[in-house]
Amino acid sequence: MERLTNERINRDLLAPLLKTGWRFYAVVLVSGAVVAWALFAWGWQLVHGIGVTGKRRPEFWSLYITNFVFWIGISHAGTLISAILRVTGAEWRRPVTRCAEAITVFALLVGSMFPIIHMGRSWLFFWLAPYPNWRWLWPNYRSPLMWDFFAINAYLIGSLIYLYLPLIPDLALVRDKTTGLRRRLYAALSLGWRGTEAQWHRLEKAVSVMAIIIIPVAVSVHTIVSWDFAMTLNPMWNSTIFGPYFVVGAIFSGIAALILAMAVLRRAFQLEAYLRPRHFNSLALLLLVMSLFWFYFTFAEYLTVWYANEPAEMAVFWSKVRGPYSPLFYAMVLCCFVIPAPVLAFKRLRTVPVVAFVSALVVVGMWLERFLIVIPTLGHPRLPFNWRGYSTTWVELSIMVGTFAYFTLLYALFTKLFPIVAVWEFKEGRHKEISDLKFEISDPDYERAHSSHV
Amino acid sequence: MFEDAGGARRAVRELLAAGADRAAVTIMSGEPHLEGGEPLTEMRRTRIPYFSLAGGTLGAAAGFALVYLTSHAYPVVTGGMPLVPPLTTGIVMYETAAMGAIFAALGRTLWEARLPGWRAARGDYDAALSDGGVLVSLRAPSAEEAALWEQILADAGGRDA
Repeated sequence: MERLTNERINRDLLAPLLKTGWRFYAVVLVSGAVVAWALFAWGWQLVHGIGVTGKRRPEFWSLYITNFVFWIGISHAGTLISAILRVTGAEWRRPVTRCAEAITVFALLVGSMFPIIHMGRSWLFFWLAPYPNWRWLWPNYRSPLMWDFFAINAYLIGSLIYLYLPLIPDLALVRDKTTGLRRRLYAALSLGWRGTEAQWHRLEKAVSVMAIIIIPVAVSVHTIVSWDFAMTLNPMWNSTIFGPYFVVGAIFSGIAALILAMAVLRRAFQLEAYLRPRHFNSLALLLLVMSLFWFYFTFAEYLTVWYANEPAEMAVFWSKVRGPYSPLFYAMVLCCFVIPAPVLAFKRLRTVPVVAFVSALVVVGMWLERFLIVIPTLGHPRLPFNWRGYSTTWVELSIMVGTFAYFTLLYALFTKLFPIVAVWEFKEGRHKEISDLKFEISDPDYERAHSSHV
Repeated sequence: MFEDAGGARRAVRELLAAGADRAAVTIMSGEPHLEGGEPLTEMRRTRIPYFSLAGGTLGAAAGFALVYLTSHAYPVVTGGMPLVPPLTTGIVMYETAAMGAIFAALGRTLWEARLPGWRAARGDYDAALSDGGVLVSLRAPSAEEAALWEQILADAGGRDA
């Protein structure tokens, strides 16, 4: 096997940028076509009104808000996980962080589209922003929807900067390896980076500071999304543990999405030497921990409702456990706990394909969880005359599928334009590994301390 | 240009011992493997964390001002409920504080790292750095010193001195 020299690392990690295979065009074409169809569906909704989505009393939130919560959850894959790994100095993070941070940015972009689509009259999207109307009346800052605006924007801006800062040295690398228009583009984006001692020092300091700031922001985002529900008096929403429950679910689905993306990138760009089984193993262990946490929170939530036996709450509870939503409920438990927990507990089973498969199940399971939070409660308000089963239409489904394709398209374009593995961070990690190894070999105390274990 | 950071370190120490001005020396590399030890080139203490803290404080104050002033801009009848409740205002302040801290950290980082510096990148930078190695660059005030320092760099193992 060829050694990982600087030249080889540059060649391997810049290959997706410099060479374009048919797979890239196929992904762009297919996802682009689906996005175009979704745009048509959205146009249809704009022309004919929000009624074409099948929204009727009492289910006004349905799939759009389900997907909003789902994508905001997926966004926790990146910046939060990357920041935690940076702050804790986890060395194995190096090839993982960029893939993760990109997921955050694109998932937030996709997720934040849903409230705008859901508004119906989307051209009035600017009403979401804090600005006064003609009577000098400003938005209501006591509304959780307003908190969403601040939280999502803070997280999006923070994540974009957190993605961009460590990207600068790699943009300079691409600048040095390209010619013509591309060189000029990367020269502009790299801001004239030279890699001086002072620049490296500042960059590492800034990334550390950003990592510390971004963790509480990320936690606040999904907590606030949960408060969109918990601040109402609706059955099975008005819960004090909704904040942490949502955050746990978000990190859980985020890690699963990250593993899935890494498995696809590893295969598509032949990154086996960079995204190694040990990275999947470490992430799988995190996924296992989050699966247990998720089950604990779900159990606590359902147990409390069942034990209280309050009629309005029980109507929602039974609709999930033995009513029309029960197949989805049991599928959720199967995908989020029953399969992942035992499979991931065994080291022998934590191989790349198995971990990727389990992660796909978790993503599906977490989407179902979001659906089961939103829909059954809306369908069972406190006054039973208002109860109704849920049905959707091609418009809502097309837009939902289109946003998945949009995410894929954005991610594919990102991998084409920017190195998906942080080149300098990977090289730095390798140098650290080598110097640590040299130190261990040359240090007699280390040898003495470890000789008893041999 | 040096093969590794060790060679560059030795060369810079010898240059400084020979009387070179620390402020005139620049070290460039494609990865931060000079981190960890004492900086060899002149480097001021970073103030990124302090600016970030100040930005956060300003952001929180701006958040409070936004909520307080705009809520009082129109006399809404609230039936005795507070117009600016501390708990909900705190949420807005929390997010604006984070935004303030992020923007301040970014601004200060760019300023301290002298970015953007497109003109500087066209100066003594060598694109060969992207394949590894460490570049030591310095400005000599006279031709004699330039010759002496070129010799020191070459003796320390530097290429293309």
